[in-house]
Amino acid sequence: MELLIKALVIGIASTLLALAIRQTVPGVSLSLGLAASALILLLVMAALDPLLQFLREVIALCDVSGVYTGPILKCMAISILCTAGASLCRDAGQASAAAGIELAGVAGALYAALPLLNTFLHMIGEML
Amino acid sequence: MKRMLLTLLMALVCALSLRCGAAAADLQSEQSAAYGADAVEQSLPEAAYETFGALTLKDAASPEAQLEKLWTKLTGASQDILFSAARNAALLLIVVFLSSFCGTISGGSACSGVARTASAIAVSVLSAEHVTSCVAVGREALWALSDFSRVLLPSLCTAAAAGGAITSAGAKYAATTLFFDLLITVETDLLLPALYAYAAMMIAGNALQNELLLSISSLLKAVIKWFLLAVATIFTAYLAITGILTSTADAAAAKAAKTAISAALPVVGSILSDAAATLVSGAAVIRNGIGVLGMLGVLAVCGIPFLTLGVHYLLYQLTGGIAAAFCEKQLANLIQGFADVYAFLLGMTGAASFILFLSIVSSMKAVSVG
Repeated sequence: MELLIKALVIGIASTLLALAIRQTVPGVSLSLGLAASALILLLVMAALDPLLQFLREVIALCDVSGVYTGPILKCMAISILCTAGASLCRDAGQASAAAGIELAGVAGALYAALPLLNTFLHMIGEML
Repeated sequence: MKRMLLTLLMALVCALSLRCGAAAADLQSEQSAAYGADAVEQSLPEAAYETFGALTLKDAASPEAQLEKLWTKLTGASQDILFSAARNAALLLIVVFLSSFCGTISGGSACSGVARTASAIAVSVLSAEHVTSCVAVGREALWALSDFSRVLLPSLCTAAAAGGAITSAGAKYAATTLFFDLLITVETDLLLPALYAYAAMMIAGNALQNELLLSISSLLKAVIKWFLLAVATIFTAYLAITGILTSTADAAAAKAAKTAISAALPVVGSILSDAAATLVSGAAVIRNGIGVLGMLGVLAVCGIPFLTLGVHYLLYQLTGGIAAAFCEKQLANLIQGFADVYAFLLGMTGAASFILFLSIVSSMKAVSVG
């Protein structure tokens, strides 16, 4: 709850400030948004730690191979970063840069999922 | 002198009764060898040896003890099977949970689509390992049943024919052999590859969200289902009709033969008729013994595969149900699809054992001459 309030305060305050100074210094307004989103992301990362710890414990308990869970977790991290980055670019009116980030994200996610795809293809090869 | 005569008479009676017992034992062993009971004893499947040890016709007289051994084996194996299936279900739920978590956090971005596909592939890889081992278990059971039936059915038919069911035994043997061979051939050469194709279409369709592939997988599913149902239904109907028609003919023929012998030879005819009835009764005892051995063999072959496939099917259905509550429909459908694969394997093994079991019961219930 505390985290949520902090994120809300940072987000709303930065938005209000950005709106107030957008007409006079647009560059600072964008930096403000960037700083606010980075701060919120850091806060969320700290809060995600117990959750990730829980997931690690569950994975260790079931003795599941990292081949299955690793790519999904990596895809999740890539997805979060790309969404945040692309949104910032769109806020700055840079739609092409946002599209580039998304494309890079997809390529990164596919690269992260490669071990899983390899295992899958290997399995099909064995079946055939 | 009188005492000596009495002693001699008693000794003669004792010798005669022992001789009769020995003759009866000889007759039964000769009959059982002639009907191929020894071959059935020797060709019992490996699973039956592991469960019951070496079975003989004498053991068929006390099936409760053998069933107890089977129960002990199944309960012993169930723990490992349940643990393995439950572990697999837990792994699937972890992957599904991670995928759902990822989908919630990343929203509808392009990367989340890749993550969803990666999750579908992870579920497929995790499930395919178990499906492949279960297909091997099912295939081995089918081959074991096929090999065993080649010895069991002729022996059962011979014993049933000697027991008076000349027409019905032949008809049932022909029907069972035809249907069983057809089923085993189609299952191993056509339905198992079709099942693999179904699994492949289902995985690809759900991973790529492709409606065409999903439709093809549904078509394959329907074909497999209808074939198994049709074979089981036609066989049951054929066996029922043949049983009704030929059993009446056998009973009438046996009664007519008995009456004709008794009437043609006034004194000797009756003795001959009684002797024939004794032989027929002996054949019926051996037929029932072979039938019980056959049933125990089929149960031993199918027990573990049924348990393995059944437990996996139930746990996959449960996992699919739980997954449907908190993740995308795509992953839940994929898990339900794998549950269907287990259901089909269960159905294939079940259909083969059903045909063999029904044939054994039907042969054991064949007409007896009174």
